Amino acid sequence: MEISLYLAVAQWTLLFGFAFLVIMLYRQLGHVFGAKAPFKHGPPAGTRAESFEYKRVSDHTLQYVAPGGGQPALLAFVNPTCQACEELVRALSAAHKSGDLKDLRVLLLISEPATYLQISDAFRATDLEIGQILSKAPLNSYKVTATPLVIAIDAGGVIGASGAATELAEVRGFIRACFVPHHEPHFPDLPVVQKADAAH
Amino acid sequence: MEASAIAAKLILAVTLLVAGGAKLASLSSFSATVRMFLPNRFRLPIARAISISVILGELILGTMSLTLPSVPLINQLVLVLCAAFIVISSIGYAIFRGRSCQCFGGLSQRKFDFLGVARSVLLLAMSVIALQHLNPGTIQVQLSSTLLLLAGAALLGASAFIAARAIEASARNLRRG
Repeated sequence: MEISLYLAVAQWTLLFGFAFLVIMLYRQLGHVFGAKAPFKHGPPAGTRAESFEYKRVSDHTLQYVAPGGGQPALLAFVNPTCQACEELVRALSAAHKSGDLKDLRVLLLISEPATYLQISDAFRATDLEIGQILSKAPLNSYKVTATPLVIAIDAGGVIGASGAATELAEVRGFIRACFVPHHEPHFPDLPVVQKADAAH
Repeated sequence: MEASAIAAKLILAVTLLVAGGAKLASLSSFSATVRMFLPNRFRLPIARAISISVILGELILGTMSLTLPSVPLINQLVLVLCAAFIVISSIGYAIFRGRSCQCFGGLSQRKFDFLGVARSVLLLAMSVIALQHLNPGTIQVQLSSTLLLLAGAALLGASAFIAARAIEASARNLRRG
């Protein structure tokens, strides 16, 4: 039985199509599970939070984040075109309305143009302060490799927790981390024996 | 020469099926991308309706292109779709550079960039090659073969859908710890 040229090419193309699909699947799974590597996404707990400048979107004025001024802070690196970020903003807005964010400085930090805020219902509706990052320095110092990223900073300016969040329960976990004092490690690289000697 | 036209036509059909299936699994993300191109007064349901139309267009055109090789109108419709891809990727490159294009849903991390425009040009070139008139004997497909090709198209689209959905679910579960 003789098959036409079309069918011969079609079966090979379908075969390559499936092979291509398997390669894409493994490649993406590699991206997904690679993102779980410790400390790759956000700074580790116990490190000191860095200061930086940003532009407040509501009045276009320059503002300053200076952790350690006696008030705990919750920084959320988000972007209006990121769907998970919209979920986080909704969760933060709900926490704000229910009074969970009392005594806490909460700041949504975007790196995209402020005009993009109009495309997102969650960003347009929120009462929380939105700031635009002016340089890549805070993205580097806070190890922002993907959004959303939440950073909980205690009153002493030490990072208590960092990571992704999209739900209210996760947001509440970060809020709790803001109110637990975290001590910056003084001898992070010394072996335990030498630290014990230093104590004597 | 005929083989290259057939190959171009089939590669485009397979690409449309994979892209359509993967986008369907990431409908909300793709709708958010579509909404970026719409004026502010257009709400999300309109973006979602456009997204579903695009996805259905890709799946139907991909399936028809694969199973009905002797209908020249399908090649012309694929050409129009590829021309639309160039317009969209160019606007995306100009205005939304670096943002995710969701071209293959959760299956890839393609962005609006220069390479995206180049890929659209390549797709358009392939659709032009696929327009070439072919000898009817070369593309003759019997009913049993058409049904088998239809099954292959359905399997490919469904595989892309399941793969994209599995990746999204893995990412969501990892986020939740």
